[in-house]
Amino acid sequence: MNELPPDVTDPRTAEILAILAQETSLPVAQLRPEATIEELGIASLDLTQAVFEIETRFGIEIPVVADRPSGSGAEFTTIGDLLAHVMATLNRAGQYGTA
Amino acid sequence: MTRRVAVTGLGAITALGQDAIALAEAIASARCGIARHHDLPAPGPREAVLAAVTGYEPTAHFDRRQLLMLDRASQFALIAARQAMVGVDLTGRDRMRCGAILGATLGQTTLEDCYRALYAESAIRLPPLTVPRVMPNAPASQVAMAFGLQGPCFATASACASATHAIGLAGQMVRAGLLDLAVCGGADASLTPGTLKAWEALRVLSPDGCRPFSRDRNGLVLGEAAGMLVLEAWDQAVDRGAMIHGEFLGFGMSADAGDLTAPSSDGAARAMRAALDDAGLRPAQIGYVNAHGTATRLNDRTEAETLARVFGEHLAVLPVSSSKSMHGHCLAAAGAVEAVITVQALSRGLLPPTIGFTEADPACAIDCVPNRARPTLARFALSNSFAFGGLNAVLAFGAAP
Repeated sequence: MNELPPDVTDPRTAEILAILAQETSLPVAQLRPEATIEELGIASLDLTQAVFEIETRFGIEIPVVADRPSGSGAEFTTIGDLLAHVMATLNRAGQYGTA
Repeated sequence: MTRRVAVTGLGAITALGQDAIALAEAIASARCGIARHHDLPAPGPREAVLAAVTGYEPTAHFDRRQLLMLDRASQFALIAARQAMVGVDLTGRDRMRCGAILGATLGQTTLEDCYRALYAESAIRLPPLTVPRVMPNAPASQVAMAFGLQGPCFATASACASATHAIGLAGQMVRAGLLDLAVCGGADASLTPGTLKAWEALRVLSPDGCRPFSRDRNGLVLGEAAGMLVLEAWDQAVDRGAMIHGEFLGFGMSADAGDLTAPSSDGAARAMRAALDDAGLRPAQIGYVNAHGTATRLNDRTEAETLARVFGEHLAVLPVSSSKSMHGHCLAAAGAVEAVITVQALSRGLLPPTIGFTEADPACAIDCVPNRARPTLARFALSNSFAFGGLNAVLAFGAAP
């Protein structure tokens, strides 16, 4: 993926992580950018539901990641991958605020 | 009572062509029925990668009055059933012993058209045949009506294993003497805005193509189709001089009773072993497996792991391919199209390839017959279906003697 690493100081990051924490029942502290979805034991349906909740919160459609790291096949390997993809989508949609 | 069960008819309409022979020829030449479609109807995605039946003219198959009764799925079911029933004359046969068992399929096009009319266009009334067009047994009932099959007729509901359950039950009923002839299989025509949006939300659709077992696979591609088999008591098939395409040998089914959508190797293994047991076959006798092979990361990895558990060392010489790479994932019809293809593989001595294969995935250590069909002397084959809801169904077929 050709997306920048997530800016953890961006207020939207905290909001996305809060949604993720709620849908996965994991504490936000564990959702570090370098943590992998697999090691956190996040079920694919929970992740999908979290993406849906993020889409709903920001009123955007988050496209499926086509270009994936070879061998993994998963859309997102780490929490950072997810954050970066969501941020890139938000920025493309011109949503910079938290309104 | 236990009887042998002959496959005496095959029919199909798929993205690879509008009859079963076109299907076999497309597969022999490794043709892909998957394409990017543009200008799709709102409010669904405007473009999508799909295995759609193109160039289809309903009026070439049905008159106006018939079409009032038929959702696209039922049209497909009838077209495939007509092909499978060519040459079958039921005059003088006990029609109570002839049945139609199909996978349950909603009339999704009709349903969405009606909801659009009602909710978006404030229609004050809907067409009177809406209910009988939409009901999930409509394709089964239409097939029974078309051929005068007056015995058992019903639809099996197990999502993407529905048609496999239908064929398995039909085969076991013929074998047990409860039926002499069954038209069985399934149809699905759900490439509608609502269905596409719903699948999109699951994030399992590939944005660019179906590459089962490939390291770079990134999801499944939805298709529409119907597949149909005629299963018949062996002696009666021989007596009427029917062409025997193959033999139904067994059926195994299981439930994961675990996760709603994530596949389970244990559940899949139980269904494969049950099919082998039901067929009286040893794993080493199987010469081909038509995989469920959706090209999602998780399905293919789990299926390969399960095959290794069930077949052990034999897997090293056992070709396993996913024809979904060519006809897409046809949902409630998937198991029917794949059963037709599996029987054709044995009768034509040609293994369907897994096309679009780019690079081996170490997590899928199988011979997936990459990119080109391959001659085979296989006598026995399995066809796997694993559905949401944790429902597994596996058919075993043999080559005609």
